[in-house]
Amino acid sequence: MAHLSRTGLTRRHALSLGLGAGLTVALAACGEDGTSTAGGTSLGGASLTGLMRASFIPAIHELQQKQATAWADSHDGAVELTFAKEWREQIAAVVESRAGEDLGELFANQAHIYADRLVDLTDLCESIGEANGGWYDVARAACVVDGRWRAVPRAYTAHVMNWRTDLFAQVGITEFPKTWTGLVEAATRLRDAKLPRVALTMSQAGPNDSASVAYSLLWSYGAAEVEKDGKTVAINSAETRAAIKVMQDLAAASAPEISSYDEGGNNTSFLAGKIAVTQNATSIWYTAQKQAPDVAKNMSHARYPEGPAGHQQLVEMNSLAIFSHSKRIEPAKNLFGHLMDKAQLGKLAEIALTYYTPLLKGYDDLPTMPWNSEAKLKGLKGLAAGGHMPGWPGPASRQSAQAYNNQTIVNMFARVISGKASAEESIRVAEGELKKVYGG
Amino acid sequence: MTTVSGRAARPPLPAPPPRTGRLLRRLKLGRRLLITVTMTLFTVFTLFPFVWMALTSLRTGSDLYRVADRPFSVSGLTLEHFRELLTETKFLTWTLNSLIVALSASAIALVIGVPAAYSLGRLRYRGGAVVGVIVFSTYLLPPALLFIPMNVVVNRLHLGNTLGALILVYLTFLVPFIAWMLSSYFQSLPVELAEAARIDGASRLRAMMVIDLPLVLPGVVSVFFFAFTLCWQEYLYALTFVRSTDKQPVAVGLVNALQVGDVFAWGQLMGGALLGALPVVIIFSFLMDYYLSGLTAGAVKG
Repeated sequence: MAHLSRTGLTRRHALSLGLGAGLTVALAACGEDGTSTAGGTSLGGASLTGLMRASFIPAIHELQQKQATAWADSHDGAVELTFAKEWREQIAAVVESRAGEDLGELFANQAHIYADRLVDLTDLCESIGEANGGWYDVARAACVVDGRWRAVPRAYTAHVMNWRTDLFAQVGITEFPKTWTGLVEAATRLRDAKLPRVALTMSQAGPNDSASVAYSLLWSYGAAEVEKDGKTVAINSAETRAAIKVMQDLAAASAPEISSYDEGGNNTSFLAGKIAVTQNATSIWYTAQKQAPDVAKNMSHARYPEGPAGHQQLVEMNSLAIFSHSKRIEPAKNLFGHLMDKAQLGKLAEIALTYYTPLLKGYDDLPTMPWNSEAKLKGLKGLAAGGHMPGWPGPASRQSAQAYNNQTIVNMFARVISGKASAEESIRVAEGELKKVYGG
Repeated sequence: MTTVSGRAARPPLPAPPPRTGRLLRRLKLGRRLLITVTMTLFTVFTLFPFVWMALTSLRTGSDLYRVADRPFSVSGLTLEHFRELLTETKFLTWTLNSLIVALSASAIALVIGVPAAYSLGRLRYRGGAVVGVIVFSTYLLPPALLFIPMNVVVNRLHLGNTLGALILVYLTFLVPFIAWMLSSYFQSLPVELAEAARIDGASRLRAMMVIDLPLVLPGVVSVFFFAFTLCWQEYLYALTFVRSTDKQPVAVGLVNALQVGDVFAWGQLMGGALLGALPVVIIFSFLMDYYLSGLTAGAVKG
């Protein structure tokens, strides 16, 4: 302390000075950066940043970045898009803390969850719809909150039945079954012939795949978790019992692994030639062409089977949103307009093998679209017509998102096929969970 | 009679009876056998993940999907996954990022944590015990609870999407960890040594630096290694605070680039995990030697 005493400073003074200096530096750094752009759509030399969903096709990232860069070049700035597998967690951090990237690609019904922190894109979305034959209903359900568009429905990821044509031929079936009961029949024949079996994921470890099967089957039998009002829980019904019965019959003839698959487990089994059918995006076929050419040659795709209520399918939605904390809202809107222009979106849809399928009706008949140009993808046109968001026939909402995240419908089926509960018990548990979520 | 070293020669031990000798030999043999079997099992258990990673990273594409049928046989080996990992991804950049963050954060945390540990372990002041509990409680707070408020702070400081964000945020759990771990080392030291130095005119700071710190050096080395490992394997903060691909550490970069949706690039993932573990193994090997020498030096001090 001698040196401090010589300067006339006490230890307390020294500490106070140090703390004061530190706080001054920290507070100075805490100010707003003041880099908001000038009015209009010019970036004024700044960068737009965005968080995007990573795809199994690397060319999808390259194309989107290239299209964004081309736009930025004519708007005096740059666009930096980051593609990540766990982009949803990154978006949660950015939106909840109201700091960070300007825009992001939302998943499923996140537009409803983050609605109050997203920019209103109503004018843009309405004009895109008008220019392209109109939006499918599911696009509005996913992105319109309280009458305002909070995100641009970019595209949906088509979930389809991946099936082995050669194995089906061995049991006398040349076309994929049109109905769920037809699929049960095919599954039984494959099992009895001791061939690789049907394997539709139904486990907590594979939430997106399982939900796709569970909701689609439920709806195609006329059942629903909630009424149109979005409040009255409707899961305890004769239609639900019928859907569960079909799932029980299907599971009895299926590969036993269906209760333990994660999102990639069914891909691996199919690529190894161990199963004959599984639900998935077209990622299996994409991978098979490179790593399992025999499987690629002998497989095809089909839409989900129909039930008594027709073809109904859960839609995996991808939408573009601008975060309200962004200082570059007008340029971001203009960028979205550019990316959704037919010249750009059409190219994306062409290379994406239905991973990015536009929700605009005007794209259905374009000859360059994968469902019109690739034999193995024929029949997938207009899947969105029977597509719905979780919670249908009620509106997509925070509650329906919560029920989806709780995996209530998936667990209802999974409990029964794993023998942990009877159909009645399982429906009662699901009903209780849904009543807690919907409050009705 | 004395030996050259001056110690009295021990009288020869009486030979054990033949039955006792055989029993002793059997006991020794049994002990050796038990140790050998235990160590073999432990070695297999420890090394199996690495062997599995190596095997998977060397399998050809088609073999990767037949693992369940033939877990240990391969139709051919390839270095293609390593080539793709090193040339088609930013693996080397991610590894460098991890090294920068882990070394910087651990070093800074030591600079702050050692005096804090000294304070907790050696100084007696009002509320000292409460401070110790608070420091420990800070370490126990789960990252999932903190990452959103921390993201606000990180962005306010204009550190968003930089390695600086990770270095700053990692200090929030490294400093309490180091302070808590080292405080018990300081507590175990005899206070008389430092008191003697104080009587000889050394300031408290000098006594800490010259007398106490060398004695806890093995502990410092150990906590540095653990701090480095904590940084190296951290995932949630790295995922949410550093979004740009070229700025991510290896744990996040690997997963984001090589596991996309339901498509896993198993060969590259396992190759990356194997190579990504190397820096930790190398540093551990280096610090183990240093740790042992520090321990010996500490034992003869004073």
